[in-house]
Amino acid sequence: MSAPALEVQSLRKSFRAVRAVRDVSFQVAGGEILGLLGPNGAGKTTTLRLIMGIMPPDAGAIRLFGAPASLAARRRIGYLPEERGLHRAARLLDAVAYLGELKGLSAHSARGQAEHWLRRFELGEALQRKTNELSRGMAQKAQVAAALLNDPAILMLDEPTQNLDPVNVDLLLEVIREQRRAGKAIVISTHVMSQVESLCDRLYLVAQGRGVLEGPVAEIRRRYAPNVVRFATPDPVPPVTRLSAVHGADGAYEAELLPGATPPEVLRELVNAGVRIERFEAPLAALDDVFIRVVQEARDLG
Amino acid sequence: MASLLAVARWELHRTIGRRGFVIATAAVPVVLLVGVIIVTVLGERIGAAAASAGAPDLATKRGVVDLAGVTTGTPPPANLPASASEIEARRAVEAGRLEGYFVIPPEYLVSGRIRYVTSDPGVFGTKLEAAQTAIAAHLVGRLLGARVDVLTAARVRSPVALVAEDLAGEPVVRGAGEVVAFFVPYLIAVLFLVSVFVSSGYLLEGVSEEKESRVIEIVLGAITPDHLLVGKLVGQAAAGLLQVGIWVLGGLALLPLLLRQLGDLGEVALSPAIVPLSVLVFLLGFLLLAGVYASAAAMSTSSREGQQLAAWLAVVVAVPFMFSTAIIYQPDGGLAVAFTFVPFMAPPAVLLRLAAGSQDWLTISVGLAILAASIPVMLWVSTRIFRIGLLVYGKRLSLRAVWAGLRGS
Repeated sequence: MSAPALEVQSLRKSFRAVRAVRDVSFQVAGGEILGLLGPNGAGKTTTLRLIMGIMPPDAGAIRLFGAPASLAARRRIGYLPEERGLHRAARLLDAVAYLGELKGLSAHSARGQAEHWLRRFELGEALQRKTNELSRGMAQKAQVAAALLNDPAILMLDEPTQNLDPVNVDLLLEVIREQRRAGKAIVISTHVMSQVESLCDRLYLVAQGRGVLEGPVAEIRRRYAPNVVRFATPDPVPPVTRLSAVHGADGAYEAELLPGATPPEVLRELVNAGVRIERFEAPLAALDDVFIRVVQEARDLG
Repeated sequence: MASLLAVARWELHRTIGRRGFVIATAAVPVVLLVGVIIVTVLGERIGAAAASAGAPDLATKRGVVDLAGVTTGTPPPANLPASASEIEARRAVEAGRLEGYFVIPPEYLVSGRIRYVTSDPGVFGTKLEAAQTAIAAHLVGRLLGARVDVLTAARVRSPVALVAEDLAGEPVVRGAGEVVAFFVPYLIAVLFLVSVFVSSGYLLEGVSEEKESRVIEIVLGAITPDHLLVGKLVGQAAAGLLQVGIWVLGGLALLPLLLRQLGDLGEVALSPAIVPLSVLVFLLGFLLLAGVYASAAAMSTSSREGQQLAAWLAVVVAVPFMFSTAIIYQPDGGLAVAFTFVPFMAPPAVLLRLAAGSQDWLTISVGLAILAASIPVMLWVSTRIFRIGLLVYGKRLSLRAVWAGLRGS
């Protein structure tokens, strides 16, 4: 991993009495995907707007490519906001190319890039169609294409798979993985935890305007893993000292571990007892469960 | 700067592609062209009628039914044969031997009234003037008889040939020509002002559309609100200038043709300053209004709501038009000058004064200077409201929020 392409430190933003962002700090390096998670109204969208310079923070710092954020550096961010759309009644190619021109591309280059990315998202047939004639999903893909036009070094995508069918979700996730392989720093804000599990390297969970959980996805899932193991065996299950309870039948079991016990210790004890193990797993925590638990704890703390 | 120009190009491209813009832009040259065609087609008939209006028409036969006896005693002229009765005269008209007939009633000497019945009054009644001239000449001769000399009789027939001039000795165009001389610059003033409103309206629509379609946040990810607003202003000003440019070129090409066809009515002396000054007033007026319109759009949830907000401003701007009669009759009067010094009223006031022939360059210059000076102030206010209003979706920006935005909190 290289140095952070994006770094935010202690961001704060209030709208009168409403403290939308109280303390948000995270960083993303090139070739990394960060999942920015949080319940509705947690401050995710405001954080992204602050990074984009759409509104100024009350306090805190935003650094891009190792320097304080500037307009020129922000032009190197491909941004897909939560509130998004396309110019109505404009031709799709024109509307997307215009957004490329706004990011500093020449008219010719913007048009070429727009055509390339629209075709990549299977919108080649719709280039000359009016944007108000497009389906929601098509418009959504066009907006993602617009975010990619100027080969941005950072991608910030707010709910990128909203409105997409499973086929197009796969297409989009593949493009995002391509971008990661190309060394882009990527921030994805989403409520679809399965996508975070499969796509993100790290996550940053915001609740009540504060960062409440941060770390590699796999590590967090392990940290919050339920204290159980699942295994399959054709043999009867003998009493195991490290288990508090065993549930199941017909050779498939789920067992609860005693405090302090680890899955390898349980497996060793079962094997030593002569049990033939056909399958054994220590399930990781589902991010949905982690999300609910951490957010609830944050609410309880106020 | 490149992004700003991209916004300007986009706005220009979008606006000139609007059907309403194309129709409005083409309307002025087309109306003038249609006017030229109509006048050219009808010109011969109108011209013939007009030419005959000043002298007795001796070629056309019209009958005279004299119930007052004022024309009896001498043989009637060939163009005004006497008819014994109205029935006989009507038959002659129906048979095409006469174009019409006059009925001189018994009380003519008291009332002066004569009835004229005709099968062909001419286009817009143009032949009636010739008919009146013919019968008038005939009656003057009969009434005066041998009581006055030939010269006096001629003067009685045509007592005045008025030639007017102003204090500088310049001839003053009168009658219908005077109306046209005022109407043409007045029309130019109105058209330029219409263009200011149309261009500002398109700006409002554009901002509203970007808010409603939610594309604004993508746009703001690439350009600052201030640059966005300036880019929009430049693009819409270019579209407006293109529109008025086409109007001016169309007018310069077709108006002289139209006025020439109108004969006497064409003696219009257009001030050479009216066009460049109108362009200047257009630009200043647009910059003042457009920023406010953009702010109204940013404050609102929809284009319609934005237009309702902006309508209040339109009423203020239109105030000088409500007093246009006073301004036209006294273009350098107190009211006209007062309006000139109020920025939002200056564009129509100055244009009306120019149309009415004001030469008071001092107050006009001061008014335009005040207008120009107020533009940066209004743009500062507009950009602030624009900035805070753009990301407020689904509800109108409160006045409290506007005030907070202006104070920079």
